[in-house]
Amino acid sequence: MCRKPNTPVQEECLYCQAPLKGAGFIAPAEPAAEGSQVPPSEEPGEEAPPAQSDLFSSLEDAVPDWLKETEASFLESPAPEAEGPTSEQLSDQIDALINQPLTSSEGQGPAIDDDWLASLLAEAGLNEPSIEDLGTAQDQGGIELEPTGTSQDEPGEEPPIAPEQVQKPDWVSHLEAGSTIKLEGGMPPGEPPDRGLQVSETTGQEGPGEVEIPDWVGKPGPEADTPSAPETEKPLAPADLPGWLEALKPSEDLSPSEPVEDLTTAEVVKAGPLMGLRGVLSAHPSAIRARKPPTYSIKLRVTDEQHARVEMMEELLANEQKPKPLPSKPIISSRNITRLVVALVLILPVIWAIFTGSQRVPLPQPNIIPGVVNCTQSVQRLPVGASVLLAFDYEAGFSGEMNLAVSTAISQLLMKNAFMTLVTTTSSGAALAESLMNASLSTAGIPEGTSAYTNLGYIPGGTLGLLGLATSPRAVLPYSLDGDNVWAAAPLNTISGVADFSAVLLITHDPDIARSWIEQVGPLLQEAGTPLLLITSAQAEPLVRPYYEAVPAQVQGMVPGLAGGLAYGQTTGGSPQNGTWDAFSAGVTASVLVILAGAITGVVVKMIKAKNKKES
Amino acid sequence: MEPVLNLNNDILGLVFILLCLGLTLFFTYLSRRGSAIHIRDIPAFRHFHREVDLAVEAGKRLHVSLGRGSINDLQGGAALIGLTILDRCAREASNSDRPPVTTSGNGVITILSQDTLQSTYRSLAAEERYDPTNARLTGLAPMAYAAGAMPAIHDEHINANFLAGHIGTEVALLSEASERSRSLSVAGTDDLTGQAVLYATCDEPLLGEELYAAGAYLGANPAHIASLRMQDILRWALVAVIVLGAVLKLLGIVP
Amino acid sequence: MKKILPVANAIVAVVSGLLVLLGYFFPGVFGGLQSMLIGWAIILAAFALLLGIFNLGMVHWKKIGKDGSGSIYSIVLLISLAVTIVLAGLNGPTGTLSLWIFNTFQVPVEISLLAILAVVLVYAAARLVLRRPSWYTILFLVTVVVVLLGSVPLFFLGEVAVLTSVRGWLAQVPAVAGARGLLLGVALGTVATGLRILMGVDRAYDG
Repeated sequence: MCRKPNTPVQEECLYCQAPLKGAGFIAPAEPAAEGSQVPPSEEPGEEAPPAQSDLFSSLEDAVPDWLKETEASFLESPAPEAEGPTSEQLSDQIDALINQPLTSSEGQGPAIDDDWLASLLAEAGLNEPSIEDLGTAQDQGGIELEPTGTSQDEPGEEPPIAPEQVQKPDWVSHLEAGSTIKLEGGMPPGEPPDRGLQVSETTGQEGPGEVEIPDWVGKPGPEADTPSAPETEKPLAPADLPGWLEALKPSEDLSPSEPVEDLTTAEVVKAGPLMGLRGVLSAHPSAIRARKPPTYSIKLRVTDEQHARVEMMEELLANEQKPKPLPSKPIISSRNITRLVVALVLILPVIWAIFTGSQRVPLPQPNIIPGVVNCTQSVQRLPVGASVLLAFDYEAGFSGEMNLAVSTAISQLLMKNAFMTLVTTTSSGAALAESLMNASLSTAGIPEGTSAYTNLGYIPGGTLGLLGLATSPRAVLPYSLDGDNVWAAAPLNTISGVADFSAVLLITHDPDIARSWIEQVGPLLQEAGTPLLLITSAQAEPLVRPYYEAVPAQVQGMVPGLAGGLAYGQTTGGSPQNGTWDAFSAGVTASVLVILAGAITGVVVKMIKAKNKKES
Repeated sequence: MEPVLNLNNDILGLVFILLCLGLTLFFTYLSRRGSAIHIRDIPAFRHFHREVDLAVEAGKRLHVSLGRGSINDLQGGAALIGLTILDRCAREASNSDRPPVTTSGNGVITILSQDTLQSTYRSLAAEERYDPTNARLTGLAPMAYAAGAMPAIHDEHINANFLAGHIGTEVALLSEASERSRSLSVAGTDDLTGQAVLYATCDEPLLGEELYAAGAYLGANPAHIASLRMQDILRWALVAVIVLGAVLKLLGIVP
Repeated sequence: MKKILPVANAIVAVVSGLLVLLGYFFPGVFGGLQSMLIGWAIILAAFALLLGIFNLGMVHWKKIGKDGSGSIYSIVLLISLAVTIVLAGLNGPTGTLSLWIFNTFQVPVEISLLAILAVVLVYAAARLVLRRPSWYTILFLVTVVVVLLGSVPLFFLGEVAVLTSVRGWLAQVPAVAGARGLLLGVALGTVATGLRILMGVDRAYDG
């Protein structure tokens, strides 16, 4: 059934363990071997092994006699010559294969499709006298089947074929030859297989329990019912082959080519499914030597251009790993140049005005700037030797704007012989106050170390410290910066609270500090009628002015900015401005011009961009 | 004996405080119940998230400057908002190679910023990333503070600057430094002169009380949104009181 | 301990804040406690200032260790810090040497920075239209120009009375009104922030 060759003495197949002793090509059926092909292993003439079941006995009976005779002749004939069947023979054989005569409608065995062919092939290989003779399979006899009548309607007219006349078809021999040839990519052209098959109708020997032949196999005509009798052989009339079949037919002109290699000296496979074949790879596991396949060096043929491209690619990939240096920022850019130009436009006029001591611009008048006159009058109204609290709460950077007003105020207080108590809520206020006092004293011709003032230093805690200063200054600032207990001696020994001072002069640039003083200390001062005077920067003036203009006023006098300082200076007898006001005026004028130029440029650029955008 | 309460000012103040507290608690309760609130878009806070992501991706760092306001003063509120922004920055940029750097002009704010960074990293289980020198005191005077913060902007590979606190006119120097270093500047201050300067120099200014809404916009806490609603309501109430007072004054009803 | 400490910090902060707040409204009852707590806060602020200076020194000390272009400035800063501390400690904050350092270095540097600020502001105002083109920008620039022109007589034109009047009106009416509105908003924000601290919701002090 597995179509593998076995020795004649074998009762079972070596490979599939199917029983080999049977009638003809049909092995005795076994339940386990159902469906497997069992090649006939017995020589013709031998009795088939007893049927395992009725089914197979009926099948055996269904084998046509010509097939049995063919088997017998195959086994007996020494060397059937291989002859190529004619086209008529081919068609007859094929028709005969398709239209197997049926003995009866009842006891017909099952149609055998290809198994009989396979078994035929197997028997052709199995019934050889020895395995070594397989190499000359071409000469071995095969079943030579002569074409018989192909008509389905007249199967009974076909004469029986004597066994000695049965020759192995050429195609079988070619198949055998092909198996012994080491192929190199194609089947060697060979003689077309002898497809001559004789189909003889069954002799009517029907066994019990025969299997019905399916309809497609073909129903024999009325003549099929008649038991076939051995008929004399008549030559078959050539049939017309259809075109496709004609195309399939191998060319008769082609002759089987000699094998590419001489396999006579080739090793014969002694075991395995390919046993008996010569010159093939043995499928036996032991025949396969597992070894490492040889390595072959692959050297590509690379042209110079390809080589250059490969190098370029490698360089590109390598450069990806390297961080690229950041582009250095240009030292001189358009923005830097613009900044430089703006700075020069602002600074040069100022420098010119200072160096030349220009006084072209009229000084501001005290009556125009609100608060200046009241501040002057408030200081003027102070008694001689009054204690005044000065709070230096501005940063050193605003010295240029505010030092003029502060110096004027200090000078006026010195003229009043007032005792100034210096406090501050900023970190640099103490040093600033000390520095200014020294400068004012030297300007006034008063030697240093005089008891005109005392510096109490920094008030910690910000707004909370102011609240503490307002209620109990002795607790917040018990000692001066020199380490003296100033509260024990005159004139501060009469001071218990901030309201006890004759006046409080706050000097600040920050509106928030001004608000803190006004809100924390101001109520107590208001209750005691102590004036609160302010010297502020121009940036704080808008936010502090409402306190001055309130009813009742919370600030009794204020000197805002450089203009206020100059105006204040005029009220006390005038102080030289040394080109300060002109420089300020020049700087402001230049600023206005720069801002206008920049704004107009910006508007024009935007308009042009908008226009271009619309056009595009 | 001192009076327990000054009826004119103290009672009004107490009532105002209690009103604010009640409204905040009420809206916090509502927000926890799932009531949605719509807040208007502020571009500065929209850019905040984008800049943090860009900084993390680019391997650069963020700079948060908390100003020079003291906790003891009114300026302390703005400084605390700056600390909230610092907390959000540290959280969102926690996986960055370079942690944010913070500068300030007050000793108390410096210590609080160190504590904020440390607690943020501790809550993220990344305390090893905390470096106390990332929170710096750059100067005590306004100009000194600005002069000390400018090198931090130039030298520390800053991608974006968030200036939130009490900062005066010196904010212009910080904005200029950020423009020179091609980094974004988002700034807000409670100082009025500083706000005027911000409008002219900063990329994304926060004017008025927009700075105090930072917590709500950055998702710090539901209570931030509740207090934002409280501010809105009281603002309208103040507007109504001012207008009513002006009308009454005009009519001569109120002396 | 890790869980107890934050809760304890929150309790201390909330209770202290409440006591100081109540001290404003009930000075007779909580006034003494308020003064004590405020005194402690002031002392802590002073020590915080010292810690901040120490932090400044540490930052620049670390910077010296790193190779970079800014390390020379860190060296100068540390030397200046040390010299000033020594001299001021020996001479006093208002001594001759201290005042010399103050007048020679700090005052000119701060004045220079303020001058740079003026240039920066003028440059920023000139670029404002390009940077933020809107009607508010135009209004802003017009206001700036009018206030500048009204602040001082122009160098070649002299004083323009109309400009001075307009400047006065601008400074006192719309500017102050807007400033008051901003201040009210800031005050509300500060109150809200303070209340969040008192409620323990916003903790800047988490330990």
